[in-house]
Amino acid sequence: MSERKKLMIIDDDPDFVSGIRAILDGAGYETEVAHNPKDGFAALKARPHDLLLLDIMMGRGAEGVMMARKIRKDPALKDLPILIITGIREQIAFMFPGQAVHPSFVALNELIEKPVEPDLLLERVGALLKAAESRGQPVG
Amino acid sequence: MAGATRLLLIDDEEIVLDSCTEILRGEPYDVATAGDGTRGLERVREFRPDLVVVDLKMPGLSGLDVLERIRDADPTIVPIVITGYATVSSAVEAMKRGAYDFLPKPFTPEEFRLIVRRGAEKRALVLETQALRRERELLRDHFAAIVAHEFKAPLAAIQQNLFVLERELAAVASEDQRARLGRVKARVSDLLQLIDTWRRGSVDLEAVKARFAAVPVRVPVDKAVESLAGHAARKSVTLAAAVPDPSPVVWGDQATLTEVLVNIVGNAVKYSREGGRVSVTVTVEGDDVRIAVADSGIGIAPEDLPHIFEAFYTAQSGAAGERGSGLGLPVSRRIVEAHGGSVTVRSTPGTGSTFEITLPALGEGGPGILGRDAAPAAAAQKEGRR
Repeated sequence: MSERKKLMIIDDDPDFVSGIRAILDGAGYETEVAHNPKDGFAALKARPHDLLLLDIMMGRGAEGVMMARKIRKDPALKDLPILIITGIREQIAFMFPGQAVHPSFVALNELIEKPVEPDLLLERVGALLKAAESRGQPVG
Repeated sequence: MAGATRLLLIDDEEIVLDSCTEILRGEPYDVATAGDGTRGLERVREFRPDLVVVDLKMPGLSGLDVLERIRDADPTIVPIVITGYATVSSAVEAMKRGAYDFLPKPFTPEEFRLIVRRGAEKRALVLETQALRRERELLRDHFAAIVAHEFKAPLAAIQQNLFVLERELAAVASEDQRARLGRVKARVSDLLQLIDTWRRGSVDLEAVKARFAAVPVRVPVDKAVESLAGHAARKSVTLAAAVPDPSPVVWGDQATLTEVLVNIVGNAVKYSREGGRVSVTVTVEGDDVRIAVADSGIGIAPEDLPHIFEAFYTAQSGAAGERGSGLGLPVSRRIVEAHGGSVTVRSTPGTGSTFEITLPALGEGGPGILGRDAAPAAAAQKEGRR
């Protein structure tokens, strides 16, 4: 890595976030955290990021899905790679385990289930960053 | 209520319509009028009023008939009747037929304003009650999902931090400490799985049946194998699936069929010894699709065998002290039976077990066969119904 990749984490559970943040920080990534979609979106607009790790169930419902849709519509953010980390396996992960999430649902890059083994997390983050780099676009 | 209260006046006397409209001028009402019952009912559909004030005595469709039809169209609309001659009996009859209140002619502007205001308040309460009832139903329908999420979120946070601790302490912890951490992780993982199983057990199978579609068997098999690959790898268990190409197709629900396979294949991995082998083999026999899940594990004792599909029955401990929740198999059997299929088991203690799921194959006069690329559900449905 020529320079440290900047990852945004949006998740309303601070304890869970500290668990994944320690893994990502330990692997040399620069991480930024927001605990709600509103702050997260503002941070994404304010500074460039290379990847978003996004929780689904926030607030009163699946606010993560709304957030992902909003990002995909935003001209500056639409190409930002999104890794969904969710606890709601039965509704979502079962439909799309470990595969690119269905385009009719929302164009996400990848979905993994909470809790996530450190190696799996790093592998998926690394692969998404590499894929974004090979597309050669300036992201964030 | 958003915006002004919508009020519809139905009366054959134009003077009444005009004066009532005039009385309410400057107040927060959106007023519409109709000169007879038939026209009035049309206006109910177009205007979607909150309140209807209807004269009982009209030529054509009577006020009482109008009342009844309004109640059929939308029981939340608040009806108020105007009684031409103030007989108690006509007012009582109207109230019986669902009128909220009645206004005897002649009435003063103040009386009219008051009764309309009370009707608007009633309408607001009716709508609020309806919204609360809807919320309660939503909560009831999604209760299991909500509870599962609330239980799982803290456990996921705990487990995530245990993963980190294990990594950070790897170099400094004693073997004993590492083993202890491993056990804690395993227990949290069991609990997370138990919540998933409970959640699946509370699935409303009638609702699931309503969304049945053609499912290529390959899809749930692949998903189950993929989701269990990590567990198998950690135990050095070889996990292999063989599905005919093109895949046989069944009529069912992909998500719950995947759950069945995750349960049964997951059990096979769980009760396998280190280095064992689990195979998932799909075959077509006559009009049936058979999915055989075979392991070379510890097997099931003959005395346990008749009970393993009963809720909360757990057989003796598996390899490495693994235990089941006693929910996975009963839930799986319920799901398979909802698909018109069955689950059977053969087992030899010490040698292994084979679970066989039989599902009716989709298609006329034989097994439904789907093209090579089995992934898109829409394509599967089209093919399967042909």
